[in-house]
Amino acid sequence: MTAADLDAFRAHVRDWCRANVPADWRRAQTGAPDEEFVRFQKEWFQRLREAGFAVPHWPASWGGGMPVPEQAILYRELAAHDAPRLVLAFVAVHHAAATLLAAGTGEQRARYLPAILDGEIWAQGFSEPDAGSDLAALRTTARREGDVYVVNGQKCWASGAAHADWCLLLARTDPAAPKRHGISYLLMDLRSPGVGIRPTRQATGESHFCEIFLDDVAVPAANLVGAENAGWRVAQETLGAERGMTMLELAERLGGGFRRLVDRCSRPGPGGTRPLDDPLIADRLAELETELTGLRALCTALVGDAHPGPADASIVKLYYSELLQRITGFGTETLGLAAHTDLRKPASSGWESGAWALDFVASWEWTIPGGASEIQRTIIGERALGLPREPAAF
Amino acid sequence: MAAAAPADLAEFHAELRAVARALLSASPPSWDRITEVGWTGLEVEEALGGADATFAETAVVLQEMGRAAASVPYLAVAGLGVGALALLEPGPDRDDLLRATATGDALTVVALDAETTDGTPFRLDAEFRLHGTAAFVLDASRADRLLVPALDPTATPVIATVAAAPARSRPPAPDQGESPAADADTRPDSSRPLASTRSGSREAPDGASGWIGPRVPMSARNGSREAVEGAPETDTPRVSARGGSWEADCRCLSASAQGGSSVVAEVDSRAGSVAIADRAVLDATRTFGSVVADGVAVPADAVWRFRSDPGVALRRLHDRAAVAVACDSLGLSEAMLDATVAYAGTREQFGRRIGSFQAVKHACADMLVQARVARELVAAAAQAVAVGDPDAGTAAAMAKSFACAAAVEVAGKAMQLHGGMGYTWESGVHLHLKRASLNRSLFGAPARHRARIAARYRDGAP
Repeated sequence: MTAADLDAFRAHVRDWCRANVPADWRRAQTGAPDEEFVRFQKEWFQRLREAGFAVPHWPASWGGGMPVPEQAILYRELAAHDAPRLVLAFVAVHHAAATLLAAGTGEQRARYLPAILDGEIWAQGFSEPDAGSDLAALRTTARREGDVYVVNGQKCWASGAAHADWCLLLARTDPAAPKRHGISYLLMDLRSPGVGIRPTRQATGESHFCEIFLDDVAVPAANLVGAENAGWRVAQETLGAERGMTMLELAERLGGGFRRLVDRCSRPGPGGTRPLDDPLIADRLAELETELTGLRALCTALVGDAHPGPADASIVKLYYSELLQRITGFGTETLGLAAHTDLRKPASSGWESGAWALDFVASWEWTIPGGASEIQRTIIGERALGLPREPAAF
Repeated sequence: MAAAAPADLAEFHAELRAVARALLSASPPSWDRITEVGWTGLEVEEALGGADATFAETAVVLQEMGRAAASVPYLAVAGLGVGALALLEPGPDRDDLLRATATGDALTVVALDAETTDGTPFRLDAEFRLHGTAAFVLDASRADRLLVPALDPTATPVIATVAAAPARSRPPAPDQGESPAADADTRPDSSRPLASTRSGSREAPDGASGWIGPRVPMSARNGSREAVEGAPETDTPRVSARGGSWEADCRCLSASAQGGSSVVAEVDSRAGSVAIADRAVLDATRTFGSVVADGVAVPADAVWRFRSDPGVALRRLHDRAAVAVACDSLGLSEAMLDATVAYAGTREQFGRRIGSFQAVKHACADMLVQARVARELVAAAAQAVAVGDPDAGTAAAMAKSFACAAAVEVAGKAMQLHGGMGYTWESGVHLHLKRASLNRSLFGAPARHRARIAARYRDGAP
């Protein structure tokens, strides 16, 4: 792929964005009811799909196959044109797809991947009230009865579950086995009898995380991914996707957020002066841009590397989440009390919506889930550096 | 080389890195060996005895220099000397010097003020007399040829070439050890004038041709006080350049000229001098000299011009300097991380290896993340410099500010995690910490480079 090819692709994406990004979506999505959010998300997904932009990271045979340099350009242009994000399809196109492509059967892929393109929404049912960072301590059970698993338990922090069709589920199939060895990975229809969903109100006031209550839910045995009791390993694919492939887009979105911050700092702020004229603020901005440039390079390297290091995805997830927190925190600090006056951020926006104080609070959505920063540091220390493991606590 | 596929290039870099690491693990690394294997000539065209590679390859060796905390003038010569010569119009004199620099026959140093990020403090007046002071020039006192960036009478940047010493009496590499494992007692004591540690060949006999500068202590000379500002007044003045007439030096230059490009100017031997004086610094792996020109006449054929826009060329030279130091700091960070991980994996306290404690493990993880980000920024900047990217300045500023600040944090954390042992002279961690700390200030502290990055915001970037 030559530089001219990439330039041509960039021009193509720009033209597409100018023609397709709805001009007023931020206003329309701020305070929009859930149904409107879901409708808008599904419509935007189909528009991206028609352009070949919805699942560029999937294999070509399933409708993706975009080279990594083009993906980076795509995400940069979508961010630059302030396009809505695929918030609702996030778990479907990343976590579910990565899991199915790595460990699913041919039948499972054929059943679920095209359906994702047609708009099926997925949620992730991993965490439980007593199994957060210590995910392997999960207690939801799946008991085999004939050709179904009967599932009982409770899941939490299932993002988007209230609007989802399917759930990636971890459940214990062998209560006698050591923690990580008795877990199986199931695909569960959220409309099954016995499933109850209750949104959890978050620090930002939104409620996209949900609790899922499971009371004798029957899941067909055909929906087992990987072998019975080998679900822990399969789950690493899901988590790896979260820490890896998603980052290419999120880093570019953060770049868009940074541009917005520089733009705001170039206009008069508190006291009537331009924040950018304060050398201390200019210095911090330059530092953040430098870190952002490093993050982008890390993401491109990770996604383009056929054999990434054992903790490369953890390095990227840790760095992204903490840089997101630094950038949104700095925006909140610098832009005065006005930064605190956005009481709601537009649905369909990302973690850098421009509602700085809310974005800052929401940045903990990246430093806590998917393996908290402390867990990532332990993974990096043990898998990348080979440091001795913590002695077992029991 | 330039057309090599990325995979081949990566393989070549890995090989170069491995060879460099092996060679530099010798204590002390030998400058003669380094020039023998051709690392000073990596970027020089084959016709002039070089390897026809790019700055991306020089950058690999520079990282290993930092890893080994090597006390050789590689950054000055391959990073800056060769870089400056490559920016100049080709010609017999320049080509000869480039060849000699590549092969190690000349130790060519650029009088780039090590505290600046742009411009030059030197100027040529209407009579082509050179004026100016650079308080810190990396390895100036090791040089036998000095390339002085200067503004000519029309304020156009040029390079005034000055022979600091004939090549035959070039000082050998200092004999101090380099790696943390080396016996620290063999290192120069910073309380002694560095000049006294030099081998006899540097102590040229009085009046030997080719030596420039005054014999009197600099601090006693009128108008050069600022050059030793900050040095303890009771110190012996560290004058390394020995007496000898400028006239003799110009003869030396003229003798090497084979059909010079322009008219030979009149040389006034009483017009002044260029004086180099050692500036001892806490980082004992590095040497600096102050360079003072107080009106010495420079022959026209010793004034060399840049082959492209002179302002841009000087800017690119500064960017090269910044990226070269960033490479050094990156290698240094990785060395400190490796040493710390090895130590934390064996040292036991409270009945456990200390690396199993989260406080230690997480600190090591943070060091790795810092080093990884630095590595990406340095690689991007080295590539930008190698291909002459118009945005190389921004990439250089990012690499310099990040990698050099990170190295201080990483080396500082290495000292912390090594505990009391880390604070001892014997451990050698201090060598890396001092070098990291010096690198951070060299060719512009992080805030200076971030100011360059931020200046773009007024024009609508990023």
